[in-house]
Amino acid sequence: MSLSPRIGHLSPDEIQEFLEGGLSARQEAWVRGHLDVCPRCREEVQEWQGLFADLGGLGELVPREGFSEGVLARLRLNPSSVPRKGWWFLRLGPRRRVDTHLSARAFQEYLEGRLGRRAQERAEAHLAACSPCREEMRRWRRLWADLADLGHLSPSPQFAEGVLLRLRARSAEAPAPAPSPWPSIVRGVGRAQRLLPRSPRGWAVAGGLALAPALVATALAWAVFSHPLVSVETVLTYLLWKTSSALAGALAGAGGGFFENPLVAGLYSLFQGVARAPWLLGVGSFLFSLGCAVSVWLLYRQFTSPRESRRHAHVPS
Amino acid sequence: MELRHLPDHEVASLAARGREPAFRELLRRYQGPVFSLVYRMVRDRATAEDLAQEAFVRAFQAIGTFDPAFKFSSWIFKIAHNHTIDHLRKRKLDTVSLEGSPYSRDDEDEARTRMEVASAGETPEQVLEARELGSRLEEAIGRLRPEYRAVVLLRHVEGYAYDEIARILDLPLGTVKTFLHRARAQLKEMLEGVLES
Ligand SMILES: [Zn+2]
Ligand SMILES: [Zn+2]
Repeated sequence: MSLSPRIGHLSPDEIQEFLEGGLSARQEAWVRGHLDVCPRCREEVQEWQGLFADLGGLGELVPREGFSEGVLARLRLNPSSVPRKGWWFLRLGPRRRVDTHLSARAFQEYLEGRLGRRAQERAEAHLAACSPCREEMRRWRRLWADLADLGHLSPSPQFAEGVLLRLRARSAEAPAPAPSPWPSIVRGVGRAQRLLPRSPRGWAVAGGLALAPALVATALAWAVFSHPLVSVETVLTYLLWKTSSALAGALAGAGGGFFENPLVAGLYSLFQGVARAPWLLGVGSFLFSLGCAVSVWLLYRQFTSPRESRRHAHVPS
Repeated sequence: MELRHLPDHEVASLAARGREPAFRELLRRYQGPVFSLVYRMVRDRATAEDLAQEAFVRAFQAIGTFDPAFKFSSWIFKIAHNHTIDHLRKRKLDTVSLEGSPYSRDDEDEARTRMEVASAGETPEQVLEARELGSRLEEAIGRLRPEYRAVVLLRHVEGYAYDEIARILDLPLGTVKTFLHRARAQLKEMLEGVLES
């Protein structure tokens, strides 16, 4: 209940909370202050006090003899509501807690509205039946009301100016990070660093991705070249012959002298070089598999990178 | 002024472009809440003001990296809380020494420092502190562990949900819940203790 100090007389709710000690310290101080100056509310409070006293004075009425025996007998006739002993672990659903008071946790969850529907009903049923727990609940409510009254405290009037002064001083003594000679390269390196794996698991995945195409390429190469008639040179010569004849066919209309073209001649000698140095082929396939791995890694980061780092803002330490 | 009607993230992005009125607006909105949290954590006006100002300066210097998907209020609380906890760790001021200096060598020494604390309520600032943080509840909060203080204040003064508190304090949700429950149980016990004595 949040009753804030205001102008006007006390409401019945306020008076009852006041008499039951359910107001926060601040509210209570306000009520007392008001009662000091307002005869009408004083009278009203006295009436309520009278009612409370009457209610409190209601003596205990004694039932007829044998009342408790009667209750126990009814319980025996209608045993479904009594917790059975044994095999309780076979029954599904929450176990009923009997005869225990509400825990500190239960009181707090109740006031926070965090109990489930069933737990809340059980708590309310217990509160209705148990006066020590009702008393305890009143104390918890009072803590809640006091906490809700805390409010903000203001800094000194120069606070904001002070922040801006410091900010200006800070940016004057450290004038923007020294301009780098190659800002775009630096930025590029920074971005590339963000793509590096951050956990052992990430490194394992990246390693696996990089290794997979290399292993596949090696296995294919081994399968192809293990044939006695196939060598790197014959395969390349075959490929060269195929491409050059295809190109020659395509360019035939555009004029002869295909092999005089410096570009084609360069390519031809390159192929010949590669054919004579099979390690170049190895380097090529390594670069190719590296390219594959990098692109797969980028996709992997896109889809599985931890969302945390994106959701959380960067916090300067 | 139009700035007043903009949501936090838009003001923050104006601030990121170096607009001073935007900085002022963010200060207007959050100086009270941030100062209150820090003040109740350290229970010393001057220190609290210094720490809170520093938190704003750090936030403003890094505002270019602020992610608008995040709440600005949570971000500034996070920075202020981190900074305050660092300070408390450095000073080992876990609980404010109403009971005498934690560094006192013996009982006599402790009594002397306690006297000093008690008789030091002379300067206007200390009178103000006594008025602001002198209530039973404020003193009880001051006796909680700093972690407990923070969860209680964020929950009951700022009204944050549990998951938001977890994000601000970098704690698992379950821990936030446990801290809150323990903190309130301790507060309740302390307040009842005062009532009885
Ligand atoms: Zn009145
Ligand atoms: Zn009970």
